[in-house]
Amino acid sequence: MQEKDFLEKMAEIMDTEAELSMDTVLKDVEEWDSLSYVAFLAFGATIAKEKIWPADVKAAETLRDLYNLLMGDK
Amino acid sequence: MLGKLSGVVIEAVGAVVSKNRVSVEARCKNLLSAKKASRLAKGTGIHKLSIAVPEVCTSDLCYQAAEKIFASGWDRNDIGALIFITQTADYLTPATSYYLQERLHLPKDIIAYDVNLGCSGFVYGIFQAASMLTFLGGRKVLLMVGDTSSRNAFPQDTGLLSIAGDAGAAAIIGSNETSEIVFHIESFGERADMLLVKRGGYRALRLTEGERLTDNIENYCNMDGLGVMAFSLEDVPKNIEQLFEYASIGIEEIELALVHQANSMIVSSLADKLGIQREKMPFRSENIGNTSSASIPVLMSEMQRRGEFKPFRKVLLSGFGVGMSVASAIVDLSHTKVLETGEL
Repeated sequence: MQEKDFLEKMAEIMDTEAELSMDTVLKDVEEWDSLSYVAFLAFGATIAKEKIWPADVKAAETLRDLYNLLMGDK
Repeated sequence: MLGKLSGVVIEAVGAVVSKNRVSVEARCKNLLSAKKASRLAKGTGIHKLSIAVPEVCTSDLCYQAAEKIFASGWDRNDIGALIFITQTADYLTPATSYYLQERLHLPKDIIAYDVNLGCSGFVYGIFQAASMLTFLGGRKVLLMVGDTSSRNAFPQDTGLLSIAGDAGAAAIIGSNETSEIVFHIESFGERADMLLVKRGGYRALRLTEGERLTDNIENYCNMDGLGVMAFSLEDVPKNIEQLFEYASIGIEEIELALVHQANSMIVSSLADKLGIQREKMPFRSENIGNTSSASIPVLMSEMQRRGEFKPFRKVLLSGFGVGMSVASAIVDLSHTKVLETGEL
């Protein structure tokens, strides 16, 4: 998955209008909450190469961290 | 456990929800802004919840569902066993099935018991019913499932408040020479804490102030939402894939997949993960909520109400949740009478 597609998907998952980049800090996005965690996990379960662990999602600090989880490269 | 049971058919299914429907926004009032509540409802696909009024218990909803089935042609004197599956029984003891036996005027010559299970309960119930049919010698099993889970939602926990709905259902399981049901049932006790009501049993008493429950999460259901999601999208699809393999059925052969209506995100992700078209795995609980063990029969009765239910021959059923537990089955519903959803 390209970074551009990933950022679009993340805007959809979080249902946010915030400007997103790979370096966006998740805690600065108001919509990065428990609903977004599970939506990300659901998305990850269908496309990730390796199993994504809930603890890794919670520990992610930036969008790049989440991208790396999806690409199996933490 | 993987296995087959022959000579069993689901003859009838009926479900009853509450007349009282509450919007997610109203349910989470004072906790979430209208904008956040609407975003939550969009994410879960659940906009309104069936909330039983205080004097209505799970057994009342199930009673109505059973009476609807008897009113549509089944004879109560043919019942040889009654199984009531719930986590929200009327009393700690005795089993609510005995009150239901009396209330439904069922014969004395029957087997009756309660089972404490949630979202996997309907498929478990079919398995239990199917296992005892030979013993019943031609008589049928009345299976009743349901919960008033809305009462287990902690008043500050928007995660559960926004999805937990109440419903009760009933089904008649009988004998038939040709039908066969293939089951795959698994238990994951190491994750028992993922959906836990800690107080109210004998290990820890409920905390109360007068007649009221104390505002303490331990009195209510504590859900590890991320853990439940991971379970639903890792362990559940694995269970279903193994079932297909054992039954030598290709996933594409399935006409319909009726899975626990946890929320629409879980249902659509499960369809994607298994490679089943989303249209074949419907979500119809938008205005009812997640109704625990009743959710599969509610889905069937909602499909019937919308004119979507046909005599499907190859149907996947999968219930999963509290325990943690997964029970999946491949059934033939071409001879099943499904009643439209009722209200109480």
